[in-house]
Amino acid sequence: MVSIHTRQLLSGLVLPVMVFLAVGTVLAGQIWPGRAIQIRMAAAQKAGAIYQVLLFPQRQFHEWQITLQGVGDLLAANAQLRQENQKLAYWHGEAQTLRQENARLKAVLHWGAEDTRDYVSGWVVRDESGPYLRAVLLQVGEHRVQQGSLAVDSFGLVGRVSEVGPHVVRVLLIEDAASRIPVTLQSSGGDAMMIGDNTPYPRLMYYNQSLMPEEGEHIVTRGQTGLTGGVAVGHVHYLAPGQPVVIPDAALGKLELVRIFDGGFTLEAPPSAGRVREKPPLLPDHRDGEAPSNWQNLRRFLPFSSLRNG
Amino acid sequence: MLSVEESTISGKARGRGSSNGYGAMALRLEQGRLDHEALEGTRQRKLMVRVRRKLSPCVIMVVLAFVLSAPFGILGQTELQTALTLGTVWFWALYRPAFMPLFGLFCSGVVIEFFSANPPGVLLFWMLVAYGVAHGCRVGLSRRGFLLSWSLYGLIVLGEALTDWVLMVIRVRGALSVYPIVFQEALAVGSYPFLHVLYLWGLSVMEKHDRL
Repeated sequence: MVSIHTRQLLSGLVLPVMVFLAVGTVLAGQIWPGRAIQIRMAAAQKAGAIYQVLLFPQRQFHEWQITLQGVGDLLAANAQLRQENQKLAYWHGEAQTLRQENARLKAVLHWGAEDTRDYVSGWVVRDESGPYLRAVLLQVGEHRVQQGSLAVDSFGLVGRVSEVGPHVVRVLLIEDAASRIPVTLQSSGGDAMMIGDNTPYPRLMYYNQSLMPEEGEHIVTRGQTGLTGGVAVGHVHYLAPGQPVVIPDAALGKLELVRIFDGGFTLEAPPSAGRVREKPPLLPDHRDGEAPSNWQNLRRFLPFSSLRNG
Repeated sequence: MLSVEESTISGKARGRGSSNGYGAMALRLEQGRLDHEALEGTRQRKLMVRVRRKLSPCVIMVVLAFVLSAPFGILGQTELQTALTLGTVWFWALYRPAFMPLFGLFCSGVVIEFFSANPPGVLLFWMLVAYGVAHGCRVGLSRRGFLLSWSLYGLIVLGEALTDWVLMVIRVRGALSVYPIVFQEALAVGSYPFLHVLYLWGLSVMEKHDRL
């Protein structure tokens, strides 16, 4: 039986002994570090299964995190795709516009079968139609166009060039009262004169009485000096007995792209004496006391008898 | 201590014993058996309470150290393991030394050493130092308040970190950065108040449960 005194002495020695053991462990660990590492690795290996259980929530959370990141990436990719889709829609619209424009240009090109004819296409920049005038202004750029040249759209004859400016020409439409176009009746082969009267349907006059125009008969321009023949004009329609008119093939109400045949032919202007000018000329007027410019020399080629302003 | 039911049985036995001597003897034997069982139950409960008191802090310390040795990849995991281990020893040795027996502390330290990343034996040594300091200065520290005990704990952690650093310097035979010392010290000192509050709450719960 151990006495109380001995027990107190022994209990007082426990802590120093344990400290001594701990210091010994430290020293042993410094002297044989490999052995300590082996022991710890063996312990970690034994505890591997428990570590797996402990790490399960973390790994699960990590998987959820990756999933959420994937969802976030999908949202970002979705937003980017929407933006690209908007751009594609914009370019789709652009492509549609270009395709339509291309189709219009190609439609006009079918008039260019004759290689000898020079031609130029231009956009209508202004519609000058009014109570006494049916004309449009056409932008042709640097191309030199002669007066009297035929203007066509993708369907048929539009009119003739009446005035030429530096970059713009004025086309007198076939429905204008000053318009006179010699035409040929395609079925009968007879000739006639298509005369505008400021209505949508120019009249047919001066045809051979033995070759009367037939209803629906197609008419083209008459090939002659100063005029390109075979250009589609329209078809015949009788508003009343003995009053044949031409229903133009050309869409005169909405002209956009017009092509001008610029042949090197002699001008044969339609008569328009006494006609009242509504619009200013494309070339400046010659003032008294000033030398006429080169442009003014073109006056003699103007198709109309009255070239004064107003 | 007899329950209400046992008292009722005893009363009835006394009533019958007045008329029958054999019955009275049987009842006395019955009463003695019941008293013995109650005494045994009380002893077992007391033993359980004592075991729980002796083991709980050590078990908590080992579990904490083991969990923190798992490869979570958390920044400062090793330093936190050291801080929580020393903090546990310091708290229980200072405020409830009966809950932290020296032998249990030593065994826990040995187990923790298996899962520690510090140089072998250093943590065990400083656990014993913390225990000794807390045990020796317990009366004085209880009068001075929390700040002083906190500061002393910081010094112990600093000693542990310095020991680690010195041993690593000796092993690599070259100068090492002192940043790990600062980091471990900051982490340990910063985490101790939370650990203190947590253990106080656990202690109150444990004592309330034992009282019931």
